Amino acid sequence: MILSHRLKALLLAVFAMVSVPVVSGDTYDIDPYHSSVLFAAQHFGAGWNYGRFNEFEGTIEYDASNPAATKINVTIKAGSIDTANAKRDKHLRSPDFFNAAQFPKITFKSTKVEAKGDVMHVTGELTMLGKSNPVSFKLTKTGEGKGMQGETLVGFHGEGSLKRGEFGMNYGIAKGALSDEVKLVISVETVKK
Amino acid sequence: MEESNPTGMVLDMVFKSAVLPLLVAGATAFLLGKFGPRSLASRRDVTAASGLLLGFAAGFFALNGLTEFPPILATNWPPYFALAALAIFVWIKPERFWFRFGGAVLLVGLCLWFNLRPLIENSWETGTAAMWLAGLGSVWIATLMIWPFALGEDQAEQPLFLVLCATAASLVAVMDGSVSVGQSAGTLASAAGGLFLVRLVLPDLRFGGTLHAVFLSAWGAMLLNAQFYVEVAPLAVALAAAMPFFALLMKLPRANDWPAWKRAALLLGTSVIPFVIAVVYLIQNQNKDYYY
Repeated sequence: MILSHRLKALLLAVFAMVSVPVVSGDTYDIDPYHSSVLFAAQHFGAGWNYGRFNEFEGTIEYDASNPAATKINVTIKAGSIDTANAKRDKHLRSPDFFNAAQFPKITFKSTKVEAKGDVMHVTGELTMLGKSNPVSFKLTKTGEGKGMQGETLVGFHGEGSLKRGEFGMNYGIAKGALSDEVKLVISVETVKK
Repeated sequence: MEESNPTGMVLDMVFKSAVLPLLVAGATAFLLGKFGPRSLASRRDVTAASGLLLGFAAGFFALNGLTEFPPILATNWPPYFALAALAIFVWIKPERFWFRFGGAVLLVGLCLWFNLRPLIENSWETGTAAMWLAGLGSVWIATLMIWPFALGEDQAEQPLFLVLCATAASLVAVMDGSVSVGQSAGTLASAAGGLFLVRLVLPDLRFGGTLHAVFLSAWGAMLLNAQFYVEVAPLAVALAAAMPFFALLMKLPRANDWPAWKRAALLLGTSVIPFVIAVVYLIQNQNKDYYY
């Protein structure tokens, strides 16, 4: 009798394990060598000037069968800003913009993902200059492949924008020297853990 | 987005960092000096200190916005340091040496802690933090002790010395990294300029330890910002930081008997030397990239 109860419990546990869908997907590390985090701001209402961050890290929890469960965590080193102009980069690191000495990290953590096919509408909290604000962007899975070591690679491409003034980065907004709106382009290759 | 207007941008900067602080500092010092309460008569440097504080704060907040308190950005602390300096030095009666020393230690401790807190807590090892705090604190306290001793209270040229020191802090920051930090130091220079103008019409205006504390707290914080947050070349910051020590020249024999123009020529003519060296150094080592 006792054995029968134990057998039932064991069978139920095994059944539960195989029948309940996996809530979280696989975890992928962002490969910084094959990824880009770009931004652009409009100069005196004319051209959009692009720059990039050279140092960042993060993970994406992704399940192809359930993209809405995707979770994204990214940390960017503010001091790694690069606009192909050393003098401008120094100014961008200064308290006029990113204040990189006081706030060395910019972080993003997703809070909600809505998916339609391979296209995800990601909402999350961006923390920059000591302030956290919601930011949304469109993220698309761009492809899958195998790396040189046989590792699984998945690519994503995202585009969005934010208002830098909401983070207290107000330099140059008045009189239209540099736009409040900053465009973001994120193209990452991730490696399955 | 607001339509781009480069000329308007420059005029806006000039008004907020130069005209407004000068007017507010001058009007405050004049009105307090001329019509202020009699209780101020025995502490006449408080009149000038109040003018400098309000003029500086008006320009600073016009430029940077009236931000939250306590400030999130370390670079937004200087007006509060100046306010703390006024409160502490009115309270302690800085005429007495040990009271002044205690006030200077308290003030500099507060300024260093709040200005450098992000670095102390997140970036520096304990030994590095101790070294910086001890070194910076010693120099800062020394300036607070030297100025009232060397400059006295009734030298009309004093505000010009303040203008020169603040202009140096402003220019090294602007030339080597941050316009906003440089402009903020520029407001301090303009406010001191307002005091100079008022002294021309109010000969009773005095410039004692309270004024020195208000000025040196804000000015020192500007140099800390330039050094640690703007990445200004350390040599340029050190040269600017050396300028207040030229006040000791006023203790030369019989210097106090000299006419104002002669004292001013000595004080300004010598203290401008490190400033000029800093500017030349920055120009020579400047990255020639253009991006504005």
